[in-house]
Amino acid sequence: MVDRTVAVQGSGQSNRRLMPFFLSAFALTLPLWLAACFPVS
Amino acid sequence: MPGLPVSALMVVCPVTAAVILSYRQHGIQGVSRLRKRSADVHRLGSLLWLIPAALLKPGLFAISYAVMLWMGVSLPTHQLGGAALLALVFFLSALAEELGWMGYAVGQMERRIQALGAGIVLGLIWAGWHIIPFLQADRSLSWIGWQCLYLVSSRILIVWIFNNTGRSVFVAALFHASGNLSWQLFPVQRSAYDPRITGSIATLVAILVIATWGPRTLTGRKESTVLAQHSQ
Repeated sequence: MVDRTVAVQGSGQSNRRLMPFFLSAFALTLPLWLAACFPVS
Repeated sequence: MPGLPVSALMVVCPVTAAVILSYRQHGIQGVSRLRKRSADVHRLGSLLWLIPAALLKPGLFAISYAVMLWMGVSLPTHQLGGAALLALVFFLSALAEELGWMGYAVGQMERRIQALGAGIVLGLIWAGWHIIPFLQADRSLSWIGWQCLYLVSSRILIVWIFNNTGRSVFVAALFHASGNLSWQLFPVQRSAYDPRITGSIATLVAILVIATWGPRTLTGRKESTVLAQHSQ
């Protein structure tokens, strides 16, 4: 029971750290994608 | 790099995201810990693991080349000019990516969905992250689909190498870079590269790895011993 609680808490902490990471990585990439789609001459 | 779009610069985005979030969570110490992972080759227990890390991907591409010859595909000859410079560029760009994917994210994913799950989910995210550059390079949807299969299989193999080398980001980057170098050197400048062949071979190798080392950690060891290395 204790292990399960720890595992669930760990999953919540992982989600709180993982989602911002992936969102940030994609958000940082977005301007590069746009720059390639709409090159400034 | 000839033929590569502007979006190839996106390799710095995973490490940038990891640096920002490490700073927010742990301050300058968090950033310092992440920086040290870029040279964490000391985590490597057995030097034997450098053999698959450096040579497995070139081997996959060599087999792809042989299969294509056997199928009667007319292939140009190899041109290895500038390989040393390419290797350096690919290693630095792979290191920037892997500091984010493996140095920051994968440990948290493995705690939740085990090593194979982390490899598949991170592989799908990684493949999705590449789709716009592929579209910008005028790749067909079929080419992109097979290349995504190659990328997901490659990510499972990266997690396998990573977990068996003391969770070394440096070695993961070496494996990643050896794949990119092999791809770029595939004759001529990857023009004859066919992701149907290489993607299928990479998937077979990933299945063999999963069957041999087990899906939970891809090391044959318990999760507690593998994940404990992540926090060191």
